[in-house]
Amino acid sequence: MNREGFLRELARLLADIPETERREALEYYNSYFDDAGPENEAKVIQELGGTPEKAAASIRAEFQSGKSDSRQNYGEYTERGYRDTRIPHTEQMPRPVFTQKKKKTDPRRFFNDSNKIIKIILIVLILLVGGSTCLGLLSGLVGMIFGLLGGLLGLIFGLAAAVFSLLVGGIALTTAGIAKCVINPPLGLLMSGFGLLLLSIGLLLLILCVWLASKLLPWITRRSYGWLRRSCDWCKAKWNKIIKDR
Amino acid sequence: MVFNTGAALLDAIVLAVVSGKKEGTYGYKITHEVRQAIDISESTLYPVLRRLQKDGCLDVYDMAFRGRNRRYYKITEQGTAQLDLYKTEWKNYVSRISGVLSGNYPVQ
Repeated sequence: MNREGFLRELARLLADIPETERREALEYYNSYFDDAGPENEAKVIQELGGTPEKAAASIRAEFQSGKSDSRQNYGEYTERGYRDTRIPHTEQMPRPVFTQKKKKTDPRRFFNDSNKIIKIILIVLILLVGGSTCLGLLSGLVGMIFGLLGGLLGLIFGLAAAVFSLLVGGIALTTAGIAKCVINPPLGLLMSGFGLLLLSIGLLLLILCVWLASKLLPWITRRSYGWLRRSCDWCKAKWNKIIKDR
Repeated sequence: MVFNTGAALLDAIVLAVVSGKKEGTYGYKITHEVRQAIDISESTLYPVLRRLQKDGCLDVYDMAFRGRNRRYYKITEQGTAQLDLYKTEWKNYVSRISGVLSGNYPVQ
């Protein structure tokens, strides 16, 4: 489109506004082309928006708002041309500019990063300290259980040994006492009496031992087994819940 | 420019540009001088000049130039008063916005 075409089209588009207004506008743009010079003709047309529609629209908008005398309430001249606030339009907000450099030098960003590092270090420390503490506690518990079991076992063995020696000693002493009765009846009787006493104590202890071995030990084993299984089940349930929650 | 230029501010800029020429100036030149300050479309300026002329802020007269008529715009007394008003308003506006943007809030 050249200058003549532009002005002709502008005149056509402004046909509905008063004659004087149209002539004024056309004279202005005619003059404008004259002042710009023929060498700038294409440039002026391009800067006017390429087509006369834009120029016509701004002239008409001004003329109409001039009639209603409330131009201050709407219509804005922006770097993108005339804008009428009655007509909704986007692109009002400037797009923020993000640069990589800014990101790096942002002090808050740096603080956050160092914060993260501190957090990781703390977590590792907690895991180390807590883990070792837990491990120590656990091994202590296991050791205690084994110690108790061992102690019990030792007690039983000790008892058994005591019973064995008491029985053997009692039988031997009774036998020896009966034999002694032939030579020295009072001493023999005393000896066999002591022997029988030892034997009876041994028998009593044997009964205790048998009771311990047959009743208490299985009971303890059962109880501890049950407790172990319950705690295992509890741990498993907790773990499953943690996995599920994730 | 990310900030829009309102109609009043564009009026103020145009009046300031025209008031700088005692003997008046013409459309093409005004457009170029306004565009030194703000980036507006060429088609924006004519309606503004026309309105300021209608409002009595600008006077127009034709003068022969190289065998043709050239329309000159000249500021009127009313236009000068209007420009002074705009200048005062602008100073207040700028100091307030600057104050807020630089963190000096509330503004005294």
